[in-house]
Amino acid sequence: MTAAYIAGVGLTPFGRHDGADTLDLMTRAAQAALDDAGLERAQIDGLVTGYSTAMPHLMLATLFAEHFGLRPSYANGLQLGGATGAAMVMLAKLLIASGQYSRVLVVAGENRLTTEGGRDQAIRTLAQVGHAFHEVPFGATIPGYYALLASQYLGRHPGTERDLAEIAVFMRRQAQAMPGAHLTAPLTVEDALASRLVAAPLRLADCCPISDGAAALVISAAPGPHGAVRIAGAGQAHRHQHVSMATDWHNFGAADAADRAFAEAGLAREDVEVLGIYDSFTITLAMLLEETGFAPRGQAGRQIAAGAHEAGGVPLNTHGGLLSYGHPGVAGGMAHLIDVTRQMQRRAGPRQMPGPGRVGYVHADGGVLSAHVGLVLATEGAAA
Amino acid sequence: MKHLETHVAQATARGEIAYQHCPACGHTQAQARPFCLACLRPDPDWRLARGTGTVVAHTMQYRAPTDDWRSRVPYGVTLVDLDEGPRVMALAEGALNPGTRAILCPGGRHALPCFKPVEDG
Repeated sequence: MTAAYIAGVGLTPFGRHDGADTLDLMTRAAQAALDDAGLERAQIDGLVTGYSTAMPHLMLATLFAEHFGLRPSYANGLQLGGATGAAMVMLAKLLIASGQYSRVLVVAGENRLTTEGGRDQAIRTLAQVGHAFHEVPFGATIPGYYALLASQYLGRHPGTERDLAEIAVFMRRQAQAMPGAHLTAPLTVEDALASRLVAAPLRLADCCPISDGAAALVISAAPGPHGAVRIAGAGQAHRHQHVSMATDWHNFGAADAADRAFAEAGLAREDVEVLGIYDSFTITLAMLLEETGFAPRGQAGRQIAAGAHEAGGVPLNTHGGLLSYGHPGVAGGMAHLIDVTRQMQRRAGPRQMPGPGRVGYVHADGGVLSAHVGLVLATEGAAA
Repeated sequence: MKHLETHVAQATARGEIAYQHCPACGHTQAQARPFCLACLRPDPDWRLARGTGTVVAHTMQYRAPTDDWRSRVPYGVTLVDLDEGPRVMALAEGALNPGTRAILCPGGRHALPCFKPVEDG
């Protein structure tokens, strides 16, 4: 089986990109990833895109290929909500492993913030991940679905409201050091706890912003010019779509996806030296960190507040995550993977993690902890 | 599926909850389907929930998805495990923390089922 490497990455700033549409933003990230990999368009034989809520299209991959000037022999537009970016990379890895394709461009982006209708349109569209007649009629939103999870978490682990606020504060602090982050205004725990309620118990500071932006990676059978980062393992799990159908709230599928990824990689949680975990809400990060085995149950926020992911610890969402770098849809989840890759290649500049970063783990979920994708990354120096 | 959706919608409009029950294996399911998810037997029966259950989760929505809902902000949404088994989403009135016993408000709210806490005693 051919090994798959991350040969190049491209990430635009997240935030407002007035006047830029989906294809413009995808183009910027794709060009940056090609430049990073030192490749020309003609060398790309596979293309994987996601979807764009700002530019819904039946054939986004082919549309982008035409626009950008690619003639790939394989193209696919994939949809798994927030898990899409990681799933696109997993698909690219499988395409490389098949031996039939050598260089797959993975790209997503959209102007979710500045598109016509803006936030209101996005909130309405995103709410449709709920069940059409068992959930959506009740007026729940995406923050509402995650707030349901949060209410149960806070009930089971009393006194953790402040711990969730610590997660928002930590992501903000990391974003302040990251060029291109959407939210960089100083944020204290008190600010977070005093921010307005969006869907109680979740407050504004618990929610990621809606952003414009794009991200791209080249997945290749050969390492790129910046150091070999291999996709050593990938796993998925899909146990439900709707939160009302998730009956085992200790196992939403995150652990299953992680187990499958680590099994393929032949590596263990203990080997991980850098983390990129989906954080659409503070509760998302808490529950995913805990279910994937990187924090004890009920302790994720406390662990973050105690500095477990700062100097000397295992870095986590070094770019500031969805919570502060921002969230333009599919590209949002790809930013974690891109910054973990840069950390592992030791080219994060002033933000470079001190440790070696030989093994990374990236996890994304789509829907309401519905679709899970875990990716284990390894440098040449990694144990297995 | 259309006739199943209609059946659910008719109960919902009265503020009630219709769920499916499999006469073969006894499985109950809130999400209407043409078959039993446990034993795959076709055409489960319909039952009407007694309207009591235990709260699993609760949120108060301050940001609405549509204009209709915007005028009702803030409003409660809850997940309740019905005493008959199925888990359902519904509107909520009052303090419905997880673990609270809940009962349907007669007639519903906004033509939707709505739970409130079971009165003490």
